[in-house]
Amino acid sequence: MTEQQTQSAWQHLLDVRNLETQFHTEDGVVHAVNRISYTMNEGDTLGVVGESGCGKSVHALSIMRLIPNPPGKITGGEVFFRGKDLLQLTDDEMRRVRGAEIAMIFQDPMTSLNPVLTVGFQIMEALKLHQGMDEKVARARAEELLVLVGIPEARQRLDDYPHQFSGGMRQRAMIAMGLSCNPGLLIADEPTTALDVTIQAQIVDLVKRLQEKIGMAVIWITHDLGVVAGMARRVNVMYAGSIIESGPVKEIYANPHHPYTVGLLGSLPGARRDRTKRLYSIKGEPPDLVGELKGCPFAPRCAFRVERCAFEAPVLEEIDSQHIAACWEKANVRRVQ
Amino acid sequence: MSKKTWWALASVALVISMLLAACGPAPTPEKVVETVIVTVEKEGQVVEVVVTATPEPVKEVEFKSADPTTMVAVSIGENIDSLDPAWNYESDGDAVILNVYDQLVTYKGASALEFVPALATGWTVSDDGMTYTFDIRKGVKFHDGADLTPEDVAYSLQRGVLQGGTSSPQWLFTEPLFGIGIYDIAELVDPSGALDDDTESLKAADAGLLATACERVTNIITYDDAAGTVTIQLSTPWGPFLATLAQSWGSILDKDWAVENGAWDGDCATWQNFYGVTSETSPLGKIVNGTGAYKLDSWTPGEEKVLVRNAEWWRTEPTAEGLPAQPAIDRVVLKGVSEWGTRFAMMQAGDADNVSVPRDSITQIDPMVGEWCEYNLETAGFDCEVLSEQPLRLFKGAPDVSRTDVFFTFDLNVEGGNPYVGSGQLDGNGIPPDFFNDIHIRKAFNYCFDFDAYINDALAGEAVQVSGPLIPGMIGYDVNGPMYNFDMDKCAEELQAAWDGQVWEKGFRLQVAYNTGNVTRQTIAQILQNNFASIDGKFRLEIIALPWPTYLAEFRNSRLPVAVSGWIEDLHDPHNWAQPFLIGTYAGRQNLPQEMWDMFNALVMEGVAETDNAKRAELYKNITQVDYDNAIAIRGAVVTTRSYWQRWMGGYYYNPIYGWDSRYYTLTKQ
Amino acid sequence: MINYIIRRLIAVPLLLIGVTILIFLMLMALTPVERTALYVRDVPRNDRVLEGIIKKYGLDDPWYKQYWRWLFGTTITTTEDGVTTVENIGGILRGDFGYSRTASQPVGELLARRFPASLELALYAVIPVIAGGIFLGVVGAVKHNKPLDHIVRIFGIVGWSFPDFVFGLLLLMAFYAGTGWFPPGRISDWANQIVTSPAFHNYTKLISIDALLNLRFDIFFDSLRHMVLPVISLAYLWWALTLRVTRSSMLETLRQDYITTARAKGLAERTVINKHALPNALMPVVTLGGNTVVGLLSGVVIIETVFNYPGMGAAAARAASQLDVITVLSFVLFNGLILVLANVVVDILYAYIDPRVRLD
Repeated sequence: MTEQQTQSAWQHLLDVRNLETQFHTEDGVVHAVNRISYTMNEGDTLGVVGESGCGKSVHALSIMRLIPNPPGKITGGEVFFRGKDLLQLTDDEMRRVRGAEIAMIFQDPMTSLNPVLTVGFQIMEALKLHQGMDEKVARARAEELLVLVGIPEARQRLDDYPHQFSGGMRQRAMIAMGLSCNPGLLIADEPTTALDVTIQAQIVDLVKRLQEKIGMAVIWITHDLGVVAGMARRVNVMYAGSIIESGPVKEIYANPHHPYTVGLLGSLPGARRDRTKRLYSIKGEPPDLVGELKGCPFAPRCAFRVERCAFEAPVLEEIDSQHIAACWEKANVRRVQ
Repeated sequence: MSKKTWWALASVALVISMLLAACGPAPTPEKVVETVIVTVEKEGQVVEVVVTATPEPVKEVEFKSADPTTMVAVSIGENIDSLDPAWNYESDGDAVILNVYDQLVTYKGASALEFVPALATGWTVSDDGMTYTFDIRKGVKFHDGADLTPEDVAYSLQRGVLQGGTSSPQWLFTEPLFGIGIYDIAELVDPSGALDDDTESLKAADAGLLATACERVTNIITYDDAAGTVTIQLSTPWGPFLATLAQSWGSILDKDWAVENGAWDGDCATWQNFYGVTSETSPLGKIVNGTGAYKLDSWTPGEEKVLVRNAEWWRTEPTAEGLPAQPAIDRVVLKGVSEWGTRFAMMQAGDADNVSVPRDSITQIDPMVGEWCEYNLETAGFDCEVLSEQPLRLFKGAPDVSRTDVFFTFDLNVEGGNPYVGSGQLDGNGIPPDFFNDIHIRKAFNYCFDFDAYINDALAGEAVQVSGPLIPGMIGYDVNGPMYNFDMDKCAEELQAAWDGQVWEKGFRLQVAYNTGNVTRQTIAQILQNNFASIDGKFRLEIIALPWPTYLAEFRNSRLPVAVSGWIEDLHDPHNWAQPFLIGTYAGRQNLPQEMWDMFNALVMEGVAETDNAKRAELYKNITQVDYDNAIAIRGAVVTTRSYWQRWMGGYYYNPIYGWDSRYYTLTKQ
Repeated sequence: MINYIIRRLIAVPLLLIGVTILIFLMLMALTPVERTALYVRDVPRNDRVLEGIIKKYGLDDPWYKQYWRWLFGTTITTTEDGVTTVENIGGILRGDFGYSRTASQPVGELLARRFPASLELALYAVIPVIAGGIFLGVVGAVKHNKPLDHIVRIFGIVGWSFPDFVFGLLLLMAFYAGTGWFPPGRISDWANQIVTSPAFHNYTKLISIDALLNLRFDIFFDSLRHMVLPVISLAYLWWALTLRVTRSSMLETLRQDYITTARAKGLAERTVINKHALPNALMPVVTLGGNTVVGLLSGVVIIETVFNYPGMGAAAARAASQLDVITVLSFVLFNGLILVLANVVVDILYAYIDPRVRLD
């Protein structure tokens, strides 16, 4: 595609343009990621929210080029990271990016860590591979990392196996693994979903601190708006494979302009909420992503729906310089109290 | 089409092709005689004549083996009990014993009737037929180097008798030596037979009786080292005596070696300690020291036996014209391979010189036969014809020395319940215990047995029905003797006459037993079953297969109404057939009524005592007639044999006494 | 880890006792007459003698007494001519398993003769079976649904469905009947003469190894020559099974989250497969491998019959077909022993591969 932007002259850390990922299944083609675009700068924190199946995880895996092929395939778009289009790199080049420049941590640390290898080993792998460290140096660094993420008795713990850690400790170890090579971007795919609420808060806190310390950007993927509120500066709301609203956290929360966002916010059990009212949940189900969608994907469930919505899919339009939304009725959308 | 469909089709195609390959028919060889139609002028007319074309003479091919010093014979595997000649009663053991040990006399080549000297250079028989004197050959050496003396001969025979054992062949000696009806030495101490096989009780018997029994043996089997003779005193004239001595149990051992290895020392005070010694404890069961043409090199039970040539073998005169006097092959390896396919492969590869072929596989191996030899009953030899350049030679048609009969049990043992007799009553759903006491039933069974079907289907046409309890080729066998021929009408007639018509009215039900795995016996049972059923469905025969030990036990205890069983002879002598079938083993199992047994007994005893062959023949012809009239069993068919060899082997002959795999010293290999 | 191993080893004698009790109870289902074969070869026909034997060896006694004697042997005191002899006979712990009617020798001797043959065959067969099976299974899983995977799967199915005796006979026909290259049996006659001679030292009773130790390379090659076809026949079938299990286990493992994590770290695919996936995928294969080895050691009857290889399987089958109960039960006991030991080894291997197991 384009090779206009050279490495030294890049503007954004991450520049996603029209990313499209499809899966070929027995039932047809699933449009998992439907031409999304956004940018991030160094040190930014981006929250990506949406229901299960909206494409948030898939888009992250697409950035990492970890989509299994078959049945999946990145069918279009560009992903510029520090000026290089990741989608154009060779496999070897991409491998050098993974773990070193972009790191990803996953939802369930029990299944995401290899049960038969020690935690220390799993941390040291990336160090040895990307930074060429030998055993001793890598071990020392791994110990440092464990201390950094707040795991006590770090030196002994290096030789322990994942099943010997508690849930929260495991996730910390995963984080240690993720940032071992000082990546420019950390993608966290629902890292707290599998943890207790109290531990959740600790982890979020930890990531924020580390981010400040190391200066890396973080994409935090979650379906939980509460978490996003605590740590992201901007939010992308995704639905049915597309970004339907994007903007600064406070803006979105105060003035959502997409009915789906409104619904999400309404279903938050907030501290100031009226507890006598039933918890609001959005009626209906997310659409089947097989085949082409006609009209707005949210239309069937939308309270603000008008006739146009069934035929024409809305495009992202500015509400102000930082805030965009894709809805024909966005002017009329108000937050439910 | 999608991947799945492609996959499925490919798999199906693969399976079908495998099935087709497996089901392809094997070519059957036929002797093809080409006929040509030729026009010939005959008495002025042009005539078409069919002329048998003379096939092109097959090139003389020299067949050479890879190793002419070693012969490998492969059978399905043996289970030799013991190599002690006085104890062994199995043909598997004979194959070794007859080659490593020698006897006093042996048969003249392929003849089953004439004797020639072996370890005895000559012999005389007294006029009354009860005293035999043998001149013992000088200069014969045992495998360990010791010399053969008359004392060794006497010892060997004495020791055998004194070792006894009802499952040993010694009963063949005790009868002529001590009297008819005496089957074991223990009966000299206790005639009731209570001490038979009971070593402990025998040892506890009265010392005087023991000593007397032993002395009797040492008095009737005597030797004279100075004169070089051994004398044997019989208690009754005995036609088959030389034949008994010529068999494996007449083998001669070295006394010193035997004693050294823990056998009886010749002292009448201790003989009882060596009585009835079982095969596992028998000191001479696994070791061999004979005078024979071959020595036992090694024996791995169940796998193989190896014999090596004895360079010091004494024989200088061949037993018959045309046979060599000294062994040519250095090593004889007798292997056991239970899988036919593997034996066949060994034959093809040339690693085996002779293999045993199961009857249903002959079509597989026949294409490899280049030389076809048929047995000639008159010459007792084979007429051979070369057909092609194929590497094998087949010897066909020599009569076997075994027969399978169908036995009826007279007074069935129903103690404790008997599952084979149905209801146990003559009510159409069973049979009473004395069902077969009625001669009409027995005759019905005989008439309902289809020999042609049996011979052609089960035995591939290679067998012949026999008349009476004897088999062809022996004194007293009458080729024109009386036989029951398959006749369904007569069968029905006999059924109607049986049990005063009750059988015809109510029908019956009983079980016919055979031992599991024996297809021939199963076929016999099926033929009977079918034929009875086709007369009327109420005549029900059920067929039951029993594992061998169970089958044997039930048969011995007279619990089987109808049993199909077989016998291989020990001696090619009419007594060896008449005795077991009419008064001995089988008669006992059949539980013959006392009167009938007494009658048979008198006839059999008369026959064995007669030493004049012509008179004996007449006596046995009479016995055959009596057997026919009483129909106590269905006398079966005698199978003719087939033996497959590589064409580079030579020098063998068939003596029905010894069977195929016996005398290796005459064999040659190129 | 050491603790785990020790605990496993302690369990062995207990398991063995359990096995022996089970076998013994089967033995007790026989009549005393049939059990005389533990001590004598020919079951005497004379009833009095039979009674005598039953009394002598206490075959009528209560089962626990007999069990004790079966394990440790019986002491028989005989007095003859004023001389009293006390002898200790029988007892499986003393190595006396009774006399085998079908083999014409004590069962212990039969086992000692046949087991090394089976062991040798197993050793040579295990390597292609396990290594080949695992390797191809991994290939099939990694190249899932590509042509190589399909070929591997077809191989697997054909191998599994081909009856082994058919395959064996076909091999014999192809490579022996016409050419004589790979004969049946264990070694050639000429080699056997040397091996059984006093000059040849049988250190291990494994002919190929002993041949090397005796520096007789001709015998070594002869023994290998004889093993080629049986090993191929054996390997082809069992390897198909190992392959299928490895493949499905590997496919399953490759779907796990930690594989994605490993890839996300930028590790080379080969590292991901061998270091991350394989140890996890091997669990069921280890069990299968244990069973394979046990199966091979207990004897593979059909292969042994077709190739006339004198191993445990053929001996046991022969005994069984002739109802030689004592021999059959002794084999069962022996195989039970092997199974127990093999399971211990498998358990230890598990613990080595999967650290989660070590904690219990």
